Amino acid sequence: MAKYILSRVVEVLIALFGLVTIIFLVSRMLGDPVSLLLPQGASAADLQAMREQLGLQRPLLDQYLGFLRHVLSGDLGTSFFYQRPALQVVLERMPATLALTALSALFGLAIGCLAGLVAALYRNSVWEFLVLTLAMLGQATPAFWLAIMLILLFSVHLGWLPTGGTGSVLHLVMPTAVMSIFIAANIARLFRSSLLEVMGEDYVRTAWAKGLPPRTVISWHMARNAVLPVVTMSGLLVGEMLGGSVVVETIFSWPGVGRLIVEAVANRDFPLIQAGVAVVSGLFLLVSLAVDLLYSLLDPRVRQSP
Amino acid sequence: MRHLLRQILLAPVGKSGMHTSRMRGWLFALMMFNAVPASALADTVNIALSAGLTTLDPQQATVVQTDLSVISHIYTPLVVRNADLSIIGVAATSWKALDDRTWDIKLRPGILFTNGKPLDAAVVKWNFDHLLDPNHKTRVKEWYSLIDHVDVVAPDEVKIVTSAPFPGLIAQLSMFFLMEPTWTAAHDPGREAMGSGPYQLAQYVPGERVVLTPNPHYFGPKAAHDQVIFRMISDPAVRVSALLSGELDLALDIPPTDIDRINKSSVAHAGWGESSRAMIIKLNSLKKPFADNLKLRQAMNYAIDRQGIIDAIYNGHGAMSKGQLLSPMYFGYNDKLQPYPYDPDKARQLIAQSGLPQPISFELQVPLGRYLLSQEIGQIIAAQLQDVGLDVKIREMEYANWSNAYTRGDMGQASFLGQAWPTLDADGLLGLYLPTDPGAYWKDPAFADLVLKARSTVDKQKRIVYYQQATERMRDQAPVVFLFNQPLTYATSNKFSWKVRGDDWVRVDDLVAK
Repeated sequence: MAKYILSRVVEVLIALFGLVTIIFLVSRMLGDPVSLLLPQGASAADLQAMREQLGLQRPLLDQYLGFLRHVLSGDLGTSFFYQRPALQVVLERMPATLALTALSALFGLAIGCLAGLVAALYRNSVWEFLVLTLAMLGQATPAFWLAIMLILLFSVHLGWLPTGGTGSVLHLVMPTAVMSIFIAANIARLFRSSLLEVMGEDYVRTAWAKGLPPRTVISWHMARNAVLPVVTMSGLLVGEMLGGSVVVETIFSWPGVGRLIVEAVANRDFPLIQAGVAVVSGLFLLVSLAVDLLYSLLDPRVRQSP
Repeated sequence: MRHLLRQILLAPVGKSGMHTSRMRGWLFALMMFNAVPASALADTVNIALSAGLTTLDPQQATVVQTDLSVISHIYTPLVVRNADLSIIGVAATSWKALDDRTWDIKLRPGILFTNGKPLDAAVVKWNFDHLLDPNHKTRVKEWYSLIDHVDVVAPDEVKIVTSAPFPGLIAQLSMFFLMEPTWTAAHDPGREAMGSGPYQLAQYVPGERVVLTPNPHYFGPKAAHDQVIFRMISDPAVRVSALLSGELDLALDIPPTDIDRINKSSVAHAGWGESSRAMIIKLNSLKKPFADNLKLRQAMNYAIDRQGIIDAIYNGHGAMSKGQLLSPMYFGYNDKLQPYPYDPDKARQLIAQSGLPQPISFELQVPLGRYLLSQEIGQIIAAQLQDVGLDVKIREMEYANWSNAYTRGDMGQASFLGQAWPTLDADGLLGLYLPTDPGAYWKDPAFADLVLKARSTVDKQKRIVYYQQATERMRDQAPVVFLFNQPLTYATSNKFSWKVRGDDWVRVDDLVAK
């Protein structure tokens, strides 16, 4: 087990290194940040001086090596726009993103699993039809549209919820709803089909034939085996939400990391893009590591395979 | 019931919220925010910012509509530009030019920072020294680079000496905010703020909001509101929704299509105002086919039906350009100048006379996302230019990409863009066309000479004369197609009316209770 964990951790570190390198190169293709940093009317000499101050006139390889040296010493650079350590700016926004992601994952998984179970157990009934239709809708509805509709209904029309920002439980309701609907829809469909597959297996038929109580058969024989793909999927979904909740964060003025990274891209704030992506992908890799470990707990075969 | 629910759930968190249930406490701990209620206090004004703040540091802030506007509530400037666009003293009581290079400024005695330290001549000098210190990298340094040094004459009097005449100095000082030396040394002014203005910083959640409360020691009139909240809402549709749900008292950059809807509501109203931003088509006078072809550049000016575009796109709002970049709110505006009339026949004639092989084809760059309805305007303009026989291809570009090429001197043949200068002084806007500016795309020694002459004197009358000649020269040489001034859209709650101002400042004092 220890060897397995170690090999996974090494893999994670290699992946992180590759990712940071790619981000470094890609962000340099965005163009020159200096034109956005200085007020209009700045002379060519000022622009050049600013470029030198930021070290952007150096050869790319030189910049990259310097960047790696700094990363290894834990320094992800100073944000051009905020003029503060980029990592600090990112970490400042992390609690908001984590709160939203954690809550949405919790609700999304709970609702999704429940709906998937209902759909599988009541096959070919109104329930299954209802769950599948709603899940389809949930997956097909663009998040920004849903978010704006919720705002129109609950904030403008009914006046129950604030349109955005943070500060109270009510502020969490709509952003969490939009994100958990997306998760629940994915999970419900996956869990249903996974359950249906398991239901046809010999050991489930045997369990029923043995006369075990339905609760035991469902929770122990069916759900435990059907949940494996759900674990993988939820890891991916949570990872996606960490950095990809841009739409939700923008619409609900949520001070999270996703929006920060997108704004940094627009501002060509290289250090901030790098720090943001490094933190988010680091977390993503941690989540996927956790999923793998969880997987090996749920399914002993994983541990034994080379 | 609804109100009860709202009250319970939106109740202030903090000392008074300690007795909330364990579940709520857990959730708040999860969010890790030291929250201030959004609408719980009696007299709270909520203002939407269309973009996030980048800094609270007065010497790093370059954006008027966001960073500088918030800063202007907390810090005291020497002078301020009022909603009627006049310059009045704040920390300065009077100023006069002793000669072309020396300004004498008298200070108001008795101004205190909220930490109790006085704002006197020594502090003013320190602020300039701090800005000009070669080891202190700031983005606004360029605005003040002509200042050579500042002398303390008396505790309430300073002398600013410039290395060359700097007639725009006083207008520029309306963007210069005074910090306290000992506080600045010990704190991070990018995230914290301590000034001597009418409000003080109560809370700053990066990316979300800034909360201000009155400064009890302010020397001026008592702040009109118990709390001012600036909320950063970048999505225009959400700004409209927040306004309609009663959460906002002021929002700018409202989509024109939403204005009627807002006005039909019972909670808010929306409107249009004039802005100082001149929309133009910049012709690259250094590239074919516009280089060395005055007739073609003039033909472009005759070919476009400006009023038609204003009516169709801006619902009739926005002023037509009077043959110059300046609008009446600028110092140096030339009220004698006649605009190019809409005359497609004349345009065809000039094109025929241009001596270029027909059809003349070029690319019109249209940056997206920065200017109001730029895509639509670009299409109308291209169609009107095609009507007079020009072969125009539209190239829509993401704004950052466009500006990247633009500031490097790599602009295409023609670009649709807007230009404004925050000090509302002709020097800034016309200075963008000096041959030394990488974004000028026009090298005209006669024009440059006039602008530089105007820059070299502080005599207002002389400057006006030079600017009249310079604007005339620019109109005739047509390095740009003069279009119109982009209107500014805004909306306020029915509790207030908003004194529309043409520059970008967003100030709570301009909101007038009804």
